[in-house]
Amino acid sequence: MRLRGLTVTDWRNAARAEVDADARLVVLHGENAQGKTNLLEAVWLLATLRSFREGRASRLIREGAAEARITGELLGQDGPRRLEWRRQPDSRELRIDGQLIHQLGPWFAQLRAVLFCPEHTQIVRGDPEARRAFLDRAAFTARPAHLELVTDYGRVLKQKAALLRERRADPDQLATWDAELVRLGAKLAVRRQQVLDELEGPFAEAHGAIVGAGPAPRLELRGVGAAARDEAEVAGRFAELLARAAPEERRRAQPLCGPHRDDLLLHLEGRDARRFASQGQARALVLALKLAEVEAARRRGQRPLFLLDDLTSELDRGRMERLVRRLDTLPGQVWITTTDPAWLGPLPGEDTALVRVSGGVATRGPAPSRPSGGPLVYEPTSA
Amino acid sequence: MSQPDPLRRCIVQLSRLPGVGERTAARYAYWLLRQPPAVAEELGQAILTLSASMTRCSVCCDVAAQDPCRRCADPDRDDGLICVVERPQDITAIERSGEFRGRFHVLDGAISPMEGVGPDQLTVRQLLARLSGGAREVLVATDPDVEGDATALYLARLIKPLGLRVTRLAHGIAVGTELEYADRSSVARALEHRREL
Repeated sequence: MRLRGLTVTDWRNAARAEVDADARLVVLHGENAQGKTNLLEAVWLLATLRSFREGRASRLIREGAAEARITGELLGQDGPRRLEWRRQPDSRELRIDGQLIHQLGPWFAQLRAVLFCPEHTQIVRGDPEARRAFLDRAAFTARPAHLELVTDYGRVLKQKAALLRERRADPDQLATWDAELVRLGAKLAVRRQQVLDELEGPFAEAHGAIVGAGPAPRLELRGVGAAARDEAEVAGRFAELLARAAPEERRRAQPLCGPHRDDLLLHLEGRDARRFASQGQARALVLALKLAEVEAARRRGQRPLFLLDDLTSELDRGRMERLVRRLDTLPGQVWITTTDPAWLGPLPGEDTALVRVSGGVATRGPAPSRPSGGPLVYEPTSA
Repeated sequence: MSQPDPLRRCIVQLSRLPGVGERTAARYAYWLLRQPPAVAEELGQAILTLSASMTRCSVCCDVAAQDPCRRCADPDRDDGLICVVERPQDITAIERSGEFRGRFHVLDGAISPMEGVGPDQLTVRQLLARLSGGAREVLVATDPDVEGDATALYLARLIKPLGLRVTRLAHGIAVGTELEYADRSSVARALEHRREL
């Protein structure tokens, strides 16, 4: 899958920018605050309809403009397709090949993407919420229907919380919300475990590829959804847990158990990475998780885009070179933003687009060339 | 204070209708202006009579011109089967099918603690009171969303112990939709509620 062209209009602070991205590896480079990440965000938005930054409409639409627009020219297994997203202050329009679409299923079926940005080290070192979000995002990328499950589970949870806050919660009603929580929660846990099972092998392998030989890191889900491979079994376990927690839940007037409290454990060299990983180790672990997502997708027959934001000081030279070599083996297109492509080390010369972003304008320069045996040469690009 | 502008007033009042914005309201108002006065009079009368003469049926809780409503008064309907819906409009949808000859019950919404709606805010008590009158089956036709599903489950919890059959309206792929064009969640629902052949 490849996004051959990207056009943004009145998007963030850019009046208009066009990216000629017909390459396997797209490197957006330029000084800070020139609009590189805006363009990467536009790609992510086409894939997920979410922003990975401030997502309020007033921030998405350029000041003074009536709407923001993002258009992507996609080349997938079904040939070329055109995706168009338009955002007005309080509405949104989606078009595929000019046809207005109302259901999200067909949209999400067009383009999948996996994102890495520097803040994602939170997945290793931050709150359990960041790790659950990672798992749910990975499950969504694998099977978009996961989104509805997460939304419905969250809504039932909120309803139950609201009921617990009432002075005398009706026991029949509480039992009803608990039953729904168990039904959806068991499904959620099983889907998460399925994603985890798919990630495990590729994760260890990708980690080894980045950091070199060493003990493989392990992933483990803790909580009611631990080792959830059978829906009925998890449902039984969850229902039992709820029954035991019921008096405490009523006393504290909040729901205290369920997959929304589960955590993903990362074991590195036999230790809990959440507490012991250095910044560098955390980066390598997160990159390996993301690479594993792409690999797991490949095994399912999908070829998602891999988007890497601000790949500048993330890794030391040796690891960066190994990462870039690894990126060259991925099934789908790779997008990178960086302040300086020299950081990335040798780039595959063929099928690489170097795009300079300056003042919101994107200009594609010539592909990097490397005289035999010599260092990589970047042709200067004039904007 | 300036004279109130009747056109402006009409536009503002029309734009309070659901789904009607100011531009549509203006279109309606100008259209009315161009019609003979009888058109506006008829419309005004219809609206006035609506709020003055409609009441609620004390049996099924539907809005009705008389109490009991004509469906509850109809002797040819099956007392044994009661279809529970969230809103009066939902009755029309089921009636249009021509397949249902039972009675109805309007719940007036769905359980949603977040919005302060519990069984006491709905017509659950009225429904339970009706069940001793020879009912065999309660068909719950609440919406297929989180609140509608929970409401259905809640009703089943209360009604099943009374020895009645409780069923849920099936949801899934729309008739006339080919499988390949059905949306994801409809197919997921249809798979979940597949039946034995």
